[in-house]
Amino acid sequence: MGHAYRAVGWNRQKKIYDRTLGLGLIAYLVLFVVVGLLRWPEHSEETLALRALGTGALLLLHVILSIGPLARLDHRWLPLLYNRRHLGVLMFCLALVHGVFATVYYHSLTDGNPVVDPLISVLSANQRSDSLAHFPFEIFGVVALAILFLMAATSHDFWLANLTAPVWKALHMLVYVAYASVVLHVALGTLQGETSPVLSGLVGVGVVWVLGLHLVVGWRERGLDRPTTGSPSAEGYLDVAAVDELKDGQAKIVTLSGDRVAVFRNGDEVSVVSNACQHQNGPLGEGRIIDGLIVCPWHGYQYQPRCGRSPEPFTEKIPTFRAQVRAGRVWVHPTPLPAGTDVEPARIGAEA
Amino acid sequence: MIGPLRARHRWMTTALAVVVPILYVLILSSRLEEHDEGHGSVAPVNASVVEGEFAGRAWRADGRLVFLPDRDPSLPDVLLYWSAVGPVGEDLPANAHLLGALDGDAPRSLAGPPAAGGHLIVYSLGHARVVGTGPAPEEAD
Amino acid sequence: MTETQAKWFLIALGLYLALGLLFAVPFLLKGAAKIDGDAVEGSWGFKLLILPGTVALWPLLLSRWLRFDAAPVERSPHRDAAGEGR
Repeated sequence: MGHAYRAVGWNRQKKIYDRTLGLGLIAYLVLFVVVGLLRWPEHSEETLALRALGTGALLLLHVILSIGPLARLDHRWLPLLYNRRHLGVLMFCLALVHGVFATVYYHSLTDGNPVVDPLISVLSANQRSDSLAHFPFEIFGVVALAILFLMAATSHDFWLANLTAPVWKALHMLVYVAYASVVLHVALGTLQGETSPVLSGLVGVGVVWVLGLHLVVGWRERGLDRPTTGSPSAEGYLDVAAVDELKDGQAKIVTLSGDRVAVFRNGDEVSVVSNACQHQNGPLGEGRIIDGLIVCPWHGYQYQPRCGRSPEPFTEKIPTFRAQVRAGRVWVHPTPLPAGTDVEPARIGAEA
Repeated sequence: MIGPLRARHRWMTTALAVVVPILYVLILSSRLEEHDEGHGSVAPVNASVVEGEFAGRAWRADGRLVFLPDRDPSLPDVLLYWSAVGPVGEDLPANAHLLGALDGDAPRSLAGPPAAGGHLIVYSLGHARVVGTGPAPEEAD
Repeated sequence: MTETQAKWFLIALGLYLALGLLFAVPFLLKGAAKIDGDAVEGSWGFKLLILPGTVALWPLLLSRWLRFDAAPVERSPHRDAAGEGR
């Protein structure tokens, strides 16, 4: 980075995003409780509030998990990705209130220690773990909440910089474990009592949607990760593309040295950089060159094409690659150069 | 994402796409079986009788406690507790142990009490008072 | 989990988090700025936002602070192949 950290980097777009989100959520919670009171008079307001919070968090989790693969399928979803972390923190807050409320409501009726006893009760109330349908559902809620806490607590850019993007990403990938835990929490909890096929059907559709979407996108992309083959030139360069394939200001993504590489065309120059943005490892090759700088499609981080460095005062830098243009083809040396190494761009039309 | 994480992401989502739906279907189908059993079942003659607004019968089966309500008095948020001592008026005794939630007049199979003897207490969270009580059933031989 | 196991688990967790809270005070006042230049002029809102993570991940931050590490550089196949971080 290269500027002092603030709590939240709000701008006009993010404010609109957050306001829409907040209002939508309040409307959902109020509507759930009001409709619930009319439809299920046998339930208390507390139970309905608890379920409003739980279902709200579950719905948001589905939305959050859909944004990533949808943005891979169609770039028009990218604006939602831009502020996904705010969605995540909000979802965690809902889940936390749900968890605390449930613990207090269901487990604090004994008059011992008001803090410790309910927690012990949550963890030990159901001791049967040898039968599928009777497995304690509380523990899955606790596991999911713990993971979501770690994610929300490390959502600030300070953590991205200090854990590094790959470690941060690996930590945040635990969201899939949290998702599985939440599904089990719901199936072993509420759905044991609420036997309506509509409810179990809705959760089932959610599971198929989220996991199916990830499967489709993940396997569709596998082709991009196949290493570039072909016989290297005398200096060890590999043929990666025809010049005509490269659109001005855009990149072709290929795989070299075990990871993706972005081959950018900037006017009649070709520059090659590692595809992962240093901020959050966003796919630079899916971004564009604007005002002479590569712009990451995820959060707008910028890099100079020839040296892979962010413009001053920012300090991010990414590995670069040497390139040549010969006989209408782009050749790239597969060995990356240390991040920030300046490389003379290959020139289209200037070839021997 | 960098290559190795993308690969991990791929196998992680693939594994979950197989495991989660299977577990989900298994959990829901075992739930259906249990309810079928419950609806067809009749309380054994030695079942404990729980009396009060929310009356029913309770017995031990296979380490668990089965509770069969007599009818559904439509009380909000009914929970079943076990306690070594009986209730004091309409209040739960200290250290009452939560066994689980009851659901209308559907039979419920819940975790067994943590110790022998003691009492079963039916408590309505919505009304914050005890609505039924009886002796805890002993494990059948 | 039995009640005894649950009790011990909660005691251990409580102890870990209490130590984290103790660590967070000097870390947010001084330590964060030592390991990350961008935190030198970090706002109070920023400090409040990284407080929960500091309480949860304090052993990691403590070891970085003790070694006076600058912000680490990520590991990736390309950076490894370019000989970074060796």
